[in-house]
Amino acid sequence: MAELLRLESVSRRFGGLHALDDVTLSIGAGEVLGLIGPNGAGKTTLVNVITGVHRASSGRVVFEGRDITRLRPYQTARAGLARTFQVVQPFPELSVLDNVRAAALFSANSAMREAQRVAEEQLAFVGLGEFASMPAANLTLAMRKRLELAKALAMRPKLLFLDEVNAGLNSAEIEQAMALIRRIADSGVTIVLIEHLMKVVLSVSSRVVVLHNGALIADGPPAQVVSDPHVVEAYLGKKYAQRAMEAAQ
Amino acid sequence: MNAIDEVLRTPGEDGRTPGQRGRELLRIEGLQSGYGPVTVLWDIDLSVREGEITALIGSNGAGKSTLMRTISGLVPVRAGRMLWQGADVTGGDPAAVLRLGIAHVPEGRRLFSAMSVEENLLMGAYLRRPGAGDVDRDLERVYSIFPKLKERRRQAAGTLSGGEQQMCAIGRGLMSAPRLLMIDELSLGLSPLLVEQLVEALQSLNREGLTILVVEQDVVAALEVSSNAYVMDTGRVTQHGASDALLADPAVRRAYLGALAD
Repeated sequence: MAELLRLESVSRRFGGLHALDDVTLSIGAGEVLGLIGPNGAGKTTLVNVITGVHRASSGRVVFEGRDITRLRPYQTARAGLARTFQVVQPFPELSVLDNVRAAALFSANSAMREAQRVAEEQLAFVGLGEFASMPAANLTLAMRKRLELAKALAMRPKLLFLDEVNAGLNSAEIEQAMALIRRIADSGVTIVLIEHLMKVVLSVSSRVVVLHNGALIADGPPAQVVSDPHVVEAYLGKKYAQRAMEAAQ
Repeated sequence: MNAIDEVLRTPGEDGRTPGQRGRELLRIEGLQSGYGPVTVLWDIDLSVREGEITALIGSNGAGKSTLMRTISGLVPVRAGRMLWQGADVTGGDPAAVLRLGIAHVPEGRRLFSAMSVEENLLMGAYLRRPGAGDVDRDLERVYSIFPKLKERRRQAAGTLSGGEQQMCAIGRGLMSAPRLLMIDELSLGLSPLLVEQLVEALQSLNREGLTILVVEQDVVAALEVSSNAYVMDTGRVTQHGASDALLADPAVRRAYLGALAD
């Protein structure tokens, strides 16, 4: 598998706090990488450092062989890295379609007609086609999460970070979201999935890494990682581990 | 057995007899509310009994958050009544509702981001007498439930991770020493281990007498932790009863558990 993104000893400090501590990681094209870890472990900070929101205090970020450590967010976005945000913030008064069109226009500097086409295509893909003319403010949370996805996809990313896109959704809505994530992966987009819902992590990821206190403590196939005693202790809890064990038998 | 005893010993639709139930703390009758020209809640009846954990479940957009926002006075009541221990308290503003003993942990955390974690927690206690020993005791209790918050107590709340902000919001709700704690989206953004610890902490507070009304998307978890539940759909209560009965109800399983129900 060709390497798409590589982190070389990436650290990020905020004052005295080591938010990321010597993280080395390689992500191959086509992977769906589950990124899990306790609250405050540094998961979102990792995405922020890769996408240029924060700059690494030390270490290098390499994307498609090119050093992107010092790029700004708009530059990493145009290079092919897109992300969703935990707290979704569409332009509330703009229509659903215009929200996605803005993302399409931004990423490729493309003509309005092309942006229109891409936006319509992505809205249909996430199942929001019939709500295109509605103000974004009127969407339910589940729909706003899908709008967030459509905005990210309209930028034609090679690598997509999904930061808790399933949080706040109920089980039926999660089923739909999981199917959508699989279809995005099938279309050739490499995905980093930050998620606390283990059902989603285990069924969608091809590989799982665990961040704890800013450092990677596990990396491997999903089933192996969730049975790792360190991961159980730091993240899953004994009750979950027991339930997972029973379910596996 | 006389007639009154018979009534007291006959299980109601929640499967429990009146004697087994706590006193009614909050009662909502025929409640309507909404935003601007849009009516969101229609004719809601709801009863929360003292010492119990009551769950609100239903799809996104069903009106669960709006119901909590209406109870806490953030959204005006358009019709119907709200009774607190039998007294009509309809139309109270948020400060009056908090003074009654109802705390609201809103969806989306809503912290004071430039203030420190500890200042946020103390804001939860702003109606209480400053310097009172019990405020310090409650602060220590919040820190014992969420040790991460103690580590970060001098840090600006806006710099916390998403999950830590959720802990801080729940902690702030507890700091008003409420009789009724309303939590909108209990587990949102929290790790499995932390959800387990939080549920245990809330169950322990509940055993000490705290009444809880909770919105939770994980329907199985919501029904396991609660004794009663209300199912909402498009602004109405469509079903209510004992949580274990709802958990076994095929219609509820089909509607909210998706493929998990099979």
